[in-house]
Amino acid sequence: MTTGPTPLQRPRRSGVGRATLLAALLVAPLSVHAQQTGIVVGTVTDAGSGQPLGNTAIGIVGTRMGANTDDRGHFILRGVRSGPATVRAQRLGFRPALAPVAVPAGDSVRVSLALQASAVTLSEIVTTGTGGAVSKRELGAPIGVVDASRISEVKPSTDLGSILEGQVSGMRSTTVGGGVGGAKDLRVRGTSSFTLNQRPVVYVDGVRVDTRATDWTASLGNQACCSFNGGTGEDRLSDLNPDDIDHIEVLKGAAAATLYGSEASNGVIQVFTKHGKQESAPQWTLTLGTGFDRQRPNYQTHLNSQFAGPDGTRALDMNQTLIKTGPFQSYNAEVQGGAGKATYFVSGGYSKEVGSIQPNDQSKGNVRLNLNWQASNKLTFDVRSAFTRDYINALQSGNNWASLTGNAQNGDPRQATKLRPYGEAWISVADIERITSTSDANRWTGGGTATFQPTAAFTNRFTVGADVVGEQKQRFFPQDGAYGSASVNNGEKTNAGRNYSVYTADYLGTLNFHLPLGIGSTFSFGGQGFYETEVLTAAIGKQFAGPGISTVTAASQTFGAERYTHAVQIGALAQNRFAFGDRLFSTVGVRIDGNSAFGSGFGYQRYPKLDVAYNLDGYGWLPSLVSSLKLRAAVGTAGKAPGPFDSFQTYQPVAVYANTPALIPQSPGNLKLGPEKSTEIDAGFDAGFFGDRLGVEASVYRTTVNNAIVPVTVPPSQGFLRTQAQNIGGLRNTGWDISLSLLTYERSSFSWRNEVRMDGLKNVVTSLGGNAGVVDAFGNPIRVGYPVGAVFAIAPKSYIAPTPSAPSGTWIGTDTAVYFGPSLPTFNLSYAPSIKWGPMTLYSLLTLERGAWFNNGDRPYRFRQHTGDEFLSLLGAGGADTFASDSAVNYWHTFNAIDQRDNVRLRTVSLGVDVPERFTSRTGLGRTVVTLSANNIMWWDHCHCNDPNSNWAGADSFGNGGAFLTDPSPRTFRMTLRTRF
Amino acid sequence: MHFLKSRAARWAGAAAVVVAMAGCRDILTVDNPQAFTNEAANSAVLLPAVAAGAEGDFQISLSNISVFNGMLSDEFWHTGTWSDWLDVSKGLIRANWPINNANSFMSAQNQLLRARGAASSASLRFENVLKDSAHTSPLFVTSQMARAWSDLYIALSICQAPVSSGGALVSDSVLFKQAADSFAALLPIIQNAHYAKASDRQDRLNQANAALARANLMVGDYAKALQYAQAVPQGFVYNAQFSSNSGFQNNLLAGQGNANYNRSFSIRGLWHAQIDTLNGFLRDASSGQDDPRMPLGHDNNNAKGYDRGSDGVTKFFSINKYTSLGSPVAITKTAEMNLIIAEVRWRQGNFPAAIAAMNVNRTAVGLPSFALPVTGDVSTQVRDLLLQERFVVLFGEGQRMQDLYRFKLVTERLGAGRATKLPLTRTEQLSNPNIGEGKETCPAIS
Repeated sequence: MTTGPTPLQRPRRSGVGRATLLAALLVAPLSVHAQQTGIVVGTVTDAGSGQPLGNTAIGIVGTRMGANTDDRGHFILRGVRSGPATVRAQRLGFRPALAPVAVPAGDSVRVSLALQASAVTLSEIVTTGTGGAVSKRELGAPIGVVDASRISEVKPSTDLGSILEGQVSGMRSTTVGGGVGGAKDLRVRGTSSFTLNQRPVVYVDGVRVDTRATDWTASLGNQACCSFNGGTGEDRLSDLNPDDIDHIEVLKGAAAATLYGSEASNGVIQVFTKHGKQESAPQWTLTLGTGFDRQRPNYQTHLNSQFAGPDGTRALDMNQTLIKTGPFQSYNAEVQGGAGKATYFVSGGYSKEVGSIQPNDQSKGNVRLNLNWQASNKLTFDVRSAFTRDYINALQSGNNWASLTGNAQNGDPRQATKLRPYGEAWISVADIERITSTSDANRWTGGGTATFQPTAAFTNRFTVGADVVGEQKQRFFPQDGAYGSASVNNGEKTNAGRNYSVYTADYLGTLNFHLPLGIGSTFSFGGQGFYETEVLTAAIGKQFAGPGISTVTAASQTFGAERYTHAVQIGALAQNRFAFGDRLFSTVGVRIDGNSAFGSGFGYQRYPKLDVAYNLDGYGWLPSLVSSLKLRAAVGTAGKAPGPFDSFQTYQPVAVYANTPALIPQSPGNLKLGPEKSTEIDAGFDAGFFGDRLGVEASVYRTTVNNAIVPVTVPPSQGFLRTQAQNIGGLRNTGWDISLSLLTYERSSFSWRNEVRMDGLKNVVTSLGGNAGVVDAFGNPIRVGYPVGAVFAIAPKSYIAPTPSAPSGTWIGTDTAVYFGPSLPTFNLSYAPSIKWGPMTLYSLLTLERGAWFNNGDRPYRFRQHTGDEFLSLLGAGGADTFASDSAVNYWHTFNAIDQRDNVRLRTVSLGVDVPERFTSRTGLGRTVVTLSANNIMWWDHCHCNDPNSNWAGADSFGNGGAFLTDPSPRTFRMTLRTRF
Repeated sequence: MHFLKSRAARWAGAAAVVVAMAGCRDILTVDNPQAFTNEAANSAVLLPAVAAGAEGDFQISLSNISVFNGMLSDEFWHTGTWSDWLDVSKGLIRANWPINNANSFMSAQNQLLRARGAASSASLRFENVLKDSAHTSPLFVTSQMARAWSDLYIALSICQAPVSSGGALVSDSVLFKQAADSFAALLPIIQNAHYAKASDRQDRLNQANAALARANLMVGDYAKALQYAQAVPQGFVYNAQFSSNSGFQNNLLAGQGNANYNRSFSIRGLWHAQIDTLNGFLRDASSGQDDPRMPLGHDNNNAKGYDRGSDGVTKFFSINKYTSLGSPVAITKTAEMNLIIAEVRWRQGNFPAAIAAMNVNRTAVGLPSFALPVTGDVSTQVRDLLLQERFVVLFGEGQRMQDLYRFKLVTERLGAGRATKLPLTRTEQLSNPNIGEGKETCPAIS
């Protein structure tokens, strides 16, 4: 029991008294200076190596005072109240350390702390979805933390998705093709919806940000050729500057993400950007990168050069002609520091990456300003502002008549001509290379957080912010190119704009108090909302009179298109965390949401949660090898709002009779449409063994969605074009994930760490509300008893021998489409060893995926188009068709290719070298590291494809889209110099 | 936090929550500015657009169904790489056809079914909104005509289909009869409708008469077919209108069959020997002259690859009857009426009259007249001439498969083991509570 006069126990005050208190609070900053204070200075080192530890958070226990160490491990804290105090040092990957000090009034005290490396993360403080900052040992729900600063050192990246690769068990982040700037598949714990997007919602410093994959094809009113550059499109996640990121918190599922309500069933990713260090002189960090991209030569045209076309043209092998070395350069400068009450972090960066298959490049510039002002001991302001310009010259790829490598691979080399040297059947490579397709995005993300702590027990945090994206896209087909297959004649120009904005407001109050029986209690309450709009516009010009002009207005036919979406959500939350001593913790909470996408007859939605954490470390009966152990269990519910206008019954305005206004039935609507609710039960443990040298985090979970939105097909004969969204489906995810972190060997000059992450997942559709024939947005069947995105196809059943009328024989398929397997891996493994030897750090990341199947659309196409190494190897002398080649064509005309995505991929190998201080000190530089890295170097598969992770539709549609005219993920080679001064 | 214990603070807090909730009620209301609600569509301003939608949707569905109908028949073959199109082209589709993907085989048939559904719902809307005046409204005529035309084309293309929106499964012959009855019922309605211009009324009457001629021909009521065909004036044509101005209005026959666009179907190979590749026409089978009604492009310059389809393999001749995404497709026309007259005369055994009716069309385009066969099986020879003329006159208009089917020529023209019509889609089967899995019993196989 607290015996002192805590604020809750103070006697009731009069109105005058309250006014006096308020006034006292307002002038608090002035009175603080009147107190007797001193200075704490110190050094933090790695207890194992003795090396100084930078970027370590230093605090005075019981206060909000804080600082960070510099590269030499130094820190300084001014204005510390004189008297006894406890200094706390904390850094990801190390056990926190405490040191008592006696702070002299008007003088300084020096303290040294040595942090012991730890493979256990229980001491980490997390804030996302927890109702305030809390140690992981008190949490019953699974939260992953990624130390982005550390990852950036061993694996220099230009986008967030690359940083997240293989870093959190149960989270999947992988490039799915489309060249430089292409989209990634990012998801947590599989699939939790039939139709809604699968991406976790992403916050940056408390502000919701844009991660949408834009459907440009429909947005262009189907008036312009296809999508801009195939289905993959640009990924707005890559706008963020990885060098700005400090760390990332990942809420893995509904049990952890309940407080995020109707947007969180896919999990939540919160990015925390860097901030300045208090009491430090300006510290500059300069990062210079160079290198190149060069694609792996595994395109199916190796045999092309053995053939010649009718005009004698020798066919080209695109592995020899189209794979080029694309240069890369990056520059990033940041400066941070702080005085007594304020800190700053300022950064600016620029990178340009040229793809290996060209034209394709990305130029990105970022600037960021993060300010912190501690107005008083009770009031703190954080202001963040970041601007990005991201320019992408996109590769023509992905289910696109103008796909560059698609045309080069799908041409019959026996039809090669001077103008079509790959035998291109649709559009010549030369003409595709003349297409320009660009995306130019300007983006501002910023916000502010005011934290008011009127008493030690009561904290108020108010965050407002916005993410505003303005994207201009252009595509130009020259007038004199032959683009008929893409329905473009005499040229075409498209200018399109996307204006997206989301505004976030978030209040969280946290009240600490004690209940009887010594039960600690933290009550959190608040509200959160966002206001999101997106407007897509397009101007399209078709048919130029001649070459040399390129504006929409200059075209003889001009068109326009516009698309608008708008979503608003508000919610309130309340939770209480109970501490039963120092071992047992439990949290109960609820979130209540309203969302504009809910049907007007639906109302508000409730999401409850409960979690328990029990720490067993220190019990005598535990084996000595167990150094820490937390058992945890959580159950929680989170939601996913339907599409913004899915509840509306609509009639679509169209033009008929050659441009007369008309209305046709569009969407049947559903006034009772609500969010999908995922309820997740998660149980597991976080444990440390051998003195926390081995850390294990393991979870098993079961997520059930009992009101999944089923796209119920309305009989076409009733006239409606779209399906009706109904909350009648069910699906279940059953899985496990485990992280192992082993400090295998730790000495001052040599250390070896191993990180292993694994997860397994089984997804199954449990109900479709009695509906048959349900399909996803790609037309793939959804069936009860099978996974969402299950791969079904007609399989060979029998073969009838050749007859004169069917000289290649006749294949008979199965009576119904049969099940091959799930579309997402059922088992993932990543292994990341890291060896530090003297000044050198060797890091690698190897991943394994098993269990996923896909429709390998490229493979049968190559046969149907009489090309590809598989087909060409069956030809006879002089390129003559043979029975074998004809039979193969016949077979692949009948069946789709269903292949496995199983693969092992060497994602990263890097070597970092700390430049010895004797060299850097001569030039006044601080810690300087040179890193050589190679990414996506090699993969092993048996998919008969370029890349088993290819997905023409990109982004979060990985489970649904197959491989078709896609390109492998970029293979990159980098050298990076990072220095501080 | 003692101040939360104060009554005033609690009241203030409660008031703030109430105000916030009241505000939230409004803030959660968003508008969709890109589509109309059901209620809005009832407004007088929008009713003409509803009628236009009913007819226009039907018209636009014609190019899609004509591609599939043509590929199943001896008009077209698939020259692209889509396996489901190839299955149609090979006549492999069957009842309850297993599918890899919901989009397989379905878009054309579903589009036609949706057009009928849109027309039916438009008619209901007019009756609900206009009440007693609905049946004298030209808008009602428009939607009812579209519904009946849709019935007629569903019957021409699909062997079994729901009798109405969400209705039970019936055969094509029931739908032909339903179309004939609907058009017959429309004649007095058209006469009584309040048209601003007499020519508008006459246009609708001509369309209805032409439709009745065709529907009765299919039903087998040849006397009525003759009667209605003769009621259609010379020079009449009722086109499905398309436009390049939006994807919705594009003519798929051009978009996938003309060399300016994609090259996924072309005239079937059995006609290739008859093509004048130099001048780009199909030669008239009787005279050997180029038939101006059958323009076919062929680019011998392989540089553009136009002599092969988008599969890069199959011989391709551009369907130049439809040169742009806005090219119209004839729904019906006087030339068809002449052939209906010819067919009725042939069925009556009046071969000279049949030949004469066909020659009206040939003379109009400058081709030599047919002479009446005088030796051998005259009836069969006249029938063959009739089918040849129907092929040319109605090429790419969605009627050929029905001709091969009703004259039992599928095996002769295309071989055995082929579907003789398109099946109903799986989408309709599975979503329509009055049909369901496994209920489809056609198409018949040649």
